[in-house]
Formats: sequence, structure tokens, C-alpha cells
Amino acid sequence: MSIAIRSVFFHAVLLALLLCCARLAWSVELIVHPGVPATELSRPLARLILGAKVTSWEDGSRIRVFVMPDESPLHQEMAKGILDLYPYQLRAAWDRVIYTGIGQAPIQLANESEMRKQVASTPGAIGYVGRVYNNDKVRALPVR
Amino acid sequence: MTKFVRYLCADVALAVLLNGSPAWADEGDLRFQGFASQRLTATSGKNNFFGDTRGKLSPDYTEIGAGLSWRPHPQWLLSGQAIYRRGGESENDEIDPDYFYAAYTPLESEAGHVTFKIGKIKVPYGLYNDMRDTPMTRPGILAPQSIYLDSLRQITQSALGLHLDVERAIGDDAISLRLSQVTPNFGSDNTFWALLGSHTVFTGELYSRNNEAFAGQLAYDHDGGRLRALLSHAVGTARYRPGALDNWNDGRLDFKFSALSLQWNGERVSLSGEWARNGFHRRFASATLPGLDSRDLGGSWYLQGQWRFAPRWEALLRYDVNQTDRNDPDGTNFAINNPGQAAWMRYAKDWSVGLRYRPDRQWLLAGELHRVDGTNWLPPADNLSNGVWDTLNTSRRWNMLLLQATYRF
Repeated sequence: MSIAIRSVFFHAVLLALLLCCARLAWSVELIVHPGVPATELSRPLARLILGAKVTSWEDGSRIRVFVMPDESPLHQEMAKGILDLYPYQLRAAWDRVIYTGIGQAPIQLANESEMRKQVASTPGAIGYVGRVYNNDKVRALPVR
Repeated sequence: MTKFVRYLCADVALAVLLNGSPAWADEGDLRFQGFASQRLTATSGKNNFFGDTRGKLSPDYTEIGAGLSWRPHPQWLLSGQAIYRRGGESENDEIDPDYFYAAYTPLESEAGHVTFKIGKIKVPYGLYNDMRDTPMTRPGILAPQSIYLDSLRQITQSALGLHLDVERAIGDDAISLRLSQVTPNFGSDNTFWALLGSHTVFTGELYSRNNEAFAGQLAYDHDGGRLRALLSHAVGTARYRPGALDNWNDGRLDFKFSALSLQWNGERVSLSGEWARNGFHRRFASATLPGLDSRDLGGSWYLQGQWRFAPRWEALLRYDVNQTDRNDPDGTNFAINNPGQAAWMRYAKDWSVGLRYRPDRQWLLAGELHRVDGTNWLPPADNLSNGVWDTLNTSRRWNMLLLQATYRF
């Protein structure tokens, strides 16, 4: 009996770990300032916005892009999971934008709480977090 | 250098003054960016590369850049960057405006964009021309010299003029067209050496008439840049202004460059290849000498692999070939017709391996080893014997080690 309990316990822990890893691996959502006019984005447009190539929303207001460090798991998930791009491609696009002067690169933030704070307080802002909660002052922006 | 530090301080002060609150909170976005890069170079044999590098690790090459960009309105961008470059006899040890322009984007949407620029503009050519001047955006410490010849940087890299950039998105793909009409700068000694050779034969100087050069690029990006194909073309004319007691009354040099570029970007590996044809037509008239009318149709190509084998690490392998005359690839006919000149100055075949490490977002450390046959892209000004570019007094086969540390801010 104790063996059966141990076995069930072991499987439960394993399952919980796997679910947890799956969440860590896949859970990332784009967020925007509540005043942003867009209610959803196509993947090509999301690539253009996060790649700093499209700089204004459909109503003409300026887009302000916030990102996490290249090596952060959340950034990697956003790049691969939402944009289907490799993080180095985004970095190359931003370096090109910065050093040829054709535009302005995203603003890098240190962590998720900073991301929530800046996106909530900056008009036109877009960023990403692991999960949007009901009491967040930001809005999730689905990518279709 | 002092002047550069002064400019840098002024830029920083301006940025801080205008940016009392975070940049993104301001009505008009103003950003400041820059980098500083120091290179150690060692070369074998008799050859020097941007400095006194023969047989020792030389710190002669330094690059420092600083720039500002300001978006006062979503459709308008004002942008500028200055670069200080120090590199032996071949660099002028001065601050040069790298680019400064105003850009207007009347159309921008998911379907594409249209942008007009006016000012000193980075000329798009091949995969890297508009990005070759900052270490972070070059594929190695050196860009492939066959196509991005550092000796000709001043005329090919950025120039005063007008620019149109049109991009049309088709799902995850994009087609773009970039057109530039510019006035290149032929004023540098390095350009003169590369285009005409010795000042003893040509005592005058080169100049450009307004907007006499044109560059165009058609690019196709598949799946957000996973596969890229580009066609680039540039044509222009350098005019000759005779010096006092010059044997030449008049002269011009027409150039025509075309390149096909292909690149594939995988998760860990990127493969790139570029093939170019470089045509030069020199025509000089003289009252005392027979006129000069010579043409060169050169060919260059390279294949390059980049391997991101671990986070923050990247390895590079490249084979790069340049020929001044495709019909005389090893320079034999040239050497026969030009006694006293080396055949190996007419080509260069370069194997290079490199390693890059980015310990954090600010730093980039890189090392590169080149094994070269030929001196085609060796900078003449660093390799003069008693003030003369004696090509026979250079080493045909030579090696080069480059180490570079770059800090971005």
C-alpha cells in the first residue's frame, strides 16, 4: 500500500513539475497600455512592431516598445512562441535600426514587474508578461 | 580626439537636458547611442593593415561613435552619428559625420511603408554596407573585404543625397526597394590610392559632381528574414581635377558595382553568400602623353557561416575572394604589362575563422584569424616604401590576427 501511495505521490509531483515547465515554456502574452486602439494583432504586424519597423498605432499615436534582456526566458519565449523569430534576429533588427539611424530601438527593462509598471503608465506602450491578471492595469493583446 | 570628447560631452549633456524624465515619457522621443572599440592587430611578412602591425600586436586601430535620434512626430525622424576612427596612415584620425538626415514616413502600416530621407545617408548595398561601420552590426571584426573594401569606405558607405525606401509586406514575407541618388566623397587619400594609385602619376585630385551617383537595392525577405535575397547596384563617376604642372588635362573614372546576396538564418546557424561584379573605366586626356583608356571588370564573392554554438558565443568561418580583373584572375597579364608591379596585388583569397563573445548587452569581445593569398585589399598608405607604393615589396601570402573589444552605450 505504501508503495502504491509513494508511486501516486511520485507521479503527482512529476506531473506537477511537467505542467509547471510547460507553463514556463509557453506562457507569454503581449500586453499594451489600456489606451492603445488595437484589440488584436496579426503575427506579421507583431513582428514589425517588436522589430521596431512600425512605429505608430492605427490612430497615428506613437508605439513605445518595451522588452526584457535577450537572454531572459520570457523574451526568448516571446520571440519564438509569438513572433516565430529567433532572439538574435530581433537583436540584429534593433542594432540595424539603432546604428543606421533609421529608427529607435525598444527600451529594455530588467524584470516583469518593471514591465507591468512601464506599460501601464506609458501611453502607446507594448510589452509582454508571463500572464495577465484581472487586477492588472495593462490589457492583453492577442496575436492571431 | 579632444574635439571628439567635447562633442561627446555636448551630446550627453543635450541628451540629459532634454531627457530629464525617461525618454519614452517625453512628447518627442530622443535617444542617444554610441560605442567605443579598440582593436589589436598583428600581421605577418612585410604587410601592414591599418597601422604599424607587422610582426607585433598593434593597438593602432580605434573606432568611437556617438549619435542622437529624435522623433518629434510619428512620421518624422531626425538622426545623426559621428565616428572617430584612428588606423595608421590609412585613417584620417578625425571625427567624421557618419550619417545625419531627416526621414519622413507618410505611409506606414501592416502592408508596408514608404520613407523619404534627405541628408548624409547610409547607402544600402549588399547585406552589410549600411551597417559596416559599427562593430556590433558587422558579421566579423572585418566585413568581407572583397565586397566591403575598407579602402573605399568613404565613397561606398554613406553620402549626401536623397533616398527612397519602399517596403510591401505579403504575409510573413516582404519585398523592399531602396533607391539613393547621392554625391559621394572622393576626397580621402585612401580612396585616391585605391582608385588611381600613386600621386606621382596623378598629381591632381578626385571630386564628384552633385548627385552623380546612384544606388538601388531590391530585397526579398521570406518569413521574417529566415531567407533573404538581395540585388544591389551602384553607378557613379569620379572626376579628376588636374594639379599644377599635371601631365593630365582632364580625366574621369566611372564605376559600376552589382551584387547578388543570399542569406539563410536558422536557430543556430546562418549561411551567407554574396557575388559581385565591380567595373572601373578610367579615361584620362593629356597634351603630352598618350591618352589613357583602361577598363577593369573585377569579380568578388564570399561564403560565410556563423554558428551560435552556445548562448552569447558565435563562431565564424568565411572564404572571401576578390579579383581586380576577372579575365586575369591571378594578375599574370597585368604583371607582364606593368613591369615593377606585383601580380598578387590584383587579387586576394582570404580564409578567416573567428569567435565572438557577448558577456552582456554592453560588451562584445571578438577574435579573428585570416590567412590571405594576395594583397588586393591591403591599404596602400600603410605599406609605402620611402613614400612609394611598391607592390613588389609586399608579401603575397600573409596572416593576420585581430582581437577586438567593443563597449556600447
